[in-house]
Amino acid sequence: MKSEEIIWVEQIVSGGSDAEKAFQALSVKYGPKMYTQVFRIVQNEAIAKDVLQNVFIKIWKNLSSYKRESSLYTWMYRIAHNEALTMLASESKRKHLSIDNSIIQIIPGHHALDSLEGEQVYQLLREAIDTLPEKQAIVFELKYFENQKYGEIALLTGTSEGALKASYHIAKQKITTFLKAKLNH
Amino acid sequence: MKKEKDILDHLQPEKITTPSEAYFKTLAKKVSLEERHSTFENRRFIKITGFALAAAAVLFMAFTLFNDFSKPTKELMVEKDLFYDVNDEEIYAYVNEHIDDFTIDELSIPLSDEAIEEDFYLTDISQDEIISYIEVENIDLDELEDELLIF
Repeated sequence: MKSEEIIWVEQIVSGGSDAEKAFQALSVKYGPKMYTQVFRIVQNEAIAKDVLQNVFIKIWKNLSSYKRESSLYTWMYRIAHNEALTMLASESKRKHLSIDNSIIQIIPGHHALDSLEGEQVYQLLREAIDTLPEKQAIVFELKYFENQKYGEIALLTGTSEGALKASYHIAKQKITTFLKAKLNH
Repeated sequence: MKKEKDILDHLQPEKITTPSEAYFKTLAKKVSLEERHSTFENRRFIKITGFALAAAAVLFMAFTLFNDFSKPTKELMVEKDLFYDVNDEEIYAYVNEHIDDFTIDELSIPLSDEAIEEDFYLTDISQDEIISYIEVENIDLDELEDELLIF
């Protein structure tokens, strides 16, 4: 973990006068990434914002129990992922969830995808991502959806670029196999 | 033969618009303020509850230690209250007039063994004092024999 983050975490945990500013800095840095991560699961702006608020509350409350066994981003990713799935489950029970905008578009030319809507394929892709181990899922989301450089992902996850490349390659293979099986390709 | 592209290459992720930096700052500020307030309220609640429990414990101990359990029960107090307006002379006169209506139990006063010993066996009076009293009063012991036998 970088020294800047260590200072923020310590300031927030100490609860002193700098805690609020440190928490704001942490939120500005990682908020957008967590928002897109949550949005890709719930696909609704209002719900994504509700989830993000719950995520921030959990981070504030539990930062003292963060053991630094994984990177801070990985720790927060886990909270956001669980919170989004919990909210999605409760919202789906209550009403039919409205989707604000699609996450992917189909580029014509693949016979297995031609007869499908983007949303149908995305749901399969989501299922495939959920079968991945956490680290592979993080790399896949950041690389595939956000086109982040391996160097940036390495800083976020505290993993070497070589290991990340290998993880992404494996994740892509797993997802492709999953999608082919589902689409009877 | 041209190789078909991978499925993932035929999917184009859409760009997700994220809220502004100000939104995240405001959200962080809101969460930190609310959680601090909540923590403060929780601590205050725990403090007040602690004081209340301690006070209750002190009151309970005081009640247990200092309560005089030999006091008459509420039932007896109620009986006393019933005769509050009647003076002793009236009560004695009534009892004398209707003496046959009362049982021995109703007329007798319950005494403890210690009280009986003190009052009836004259433990505080020496034998010499009793003999001199009998002589001074010129009491015929034969006349009292029957009465003394009851003890």
